[in-house]
Amino acid sequence: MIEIGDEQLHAAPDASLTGNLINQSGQIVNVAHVLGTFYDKSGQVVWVADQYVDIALLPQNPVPFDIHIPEDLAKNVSSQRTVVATYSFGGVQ
Amino acid sequence: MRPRLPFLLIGLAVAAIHLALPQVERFSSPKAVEAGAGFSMQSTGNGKATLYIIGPGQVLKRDVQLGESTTFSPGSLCYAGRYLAVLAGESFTESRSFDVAPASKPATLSFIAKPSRLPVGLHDGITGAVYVFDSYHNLITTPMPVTFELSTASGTAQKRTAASSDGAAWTSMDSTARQGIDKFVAHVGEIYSARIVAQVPGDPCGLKMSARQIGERVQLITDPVRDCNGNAVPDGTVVTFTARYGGKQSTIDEPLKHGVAEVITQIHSGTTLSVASGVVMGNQIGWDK
Repeated sequence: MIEIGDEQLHAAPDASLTGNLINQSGQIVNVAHVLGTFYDKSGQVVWVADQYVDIALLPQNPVPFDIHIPEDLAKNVSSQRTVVATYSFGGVQ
Repeated sequence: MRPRLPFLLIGLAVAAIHLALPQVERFSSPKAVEAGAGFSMQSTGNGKATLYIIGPGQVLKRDVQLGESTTFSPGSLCYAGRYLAVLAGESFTESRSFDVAPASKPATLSFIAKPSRLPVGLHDGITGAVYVFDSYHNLITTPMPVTFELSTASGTAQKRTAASSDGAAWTSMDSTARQGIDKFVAHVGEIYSARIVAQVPGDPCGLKMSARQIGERVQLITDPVRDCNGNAVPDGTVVTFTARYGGKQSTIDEPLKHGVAEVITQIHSGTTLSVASGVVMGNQIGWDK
């Protein structure tokens, strides 16, 4: 179970979605893939971006992520939905 | 030059007589034959000839004694369609067309039921289409009543009857309120064909969570998650817990296990907690401890 904490949309310039991945399980997560979906005011998808965090998630250790949003699209982004997919050696979480 | 004129006149007279005589029919054929049925063709005159029956996917050849009847046993012509009968003698060839119609008794049904899996409680969510064939697999185009029946494991059933048109009949059914394996059957007289339709729970309904302090952390747990008809939503369905605090947002996606979703996390006092599954929103809790 991975908590996506402190999710924040940052406006241009350097528009991005930032947050922390917090491993709420008692098991090390070796690979974490963050996928951000960005919507405009009417709920239409305007951009999708992702990031693999480059370190394993130890239990309760927040690991930051930062997903860049293209400058020209950032002004249209009104909300986002972020999900994380994980892999642990020895089994999928 | 003179002797030629009488011969010319005689020739013209013979030709005129020949044209004036009605055309002699060398044989007769039925206007229509039912597929698989026996039939006969009567010929006239003397001598021998050959009769050819040419149709879709089938050609028959018979030696014929003119003046006699040629009999075709049941099962000789199986495929429905337009046929051509050609009688070829030593000095003539004559042809006729006739139809072979599908047999009137249905023998097989081609039954297409869609989808094979759907959520409960969908109006007109299940469609069934039937094509009616005779024992030679000809599409029977004469209208006939087709009964569709969707029955649940508990025995309750929806029934519809539709008349086939050009060989096809169709209907739509509502998926029932209970999850399970339903049987979808199409009947035409004694003939039937059955399909299985799996009905699965719909979206969660009345999604509700509660929160309680466990040491320094907080346990968020849903009530058993059910759809609007009371069916348990399957394990693995993702439930999203969201915490909003100081303009920031945290989310946890957690699949249902044993019918509930549960997370234990740290939450600041003043946080607004909410729960959702897909597009279905649940309750909201203000956490002040």
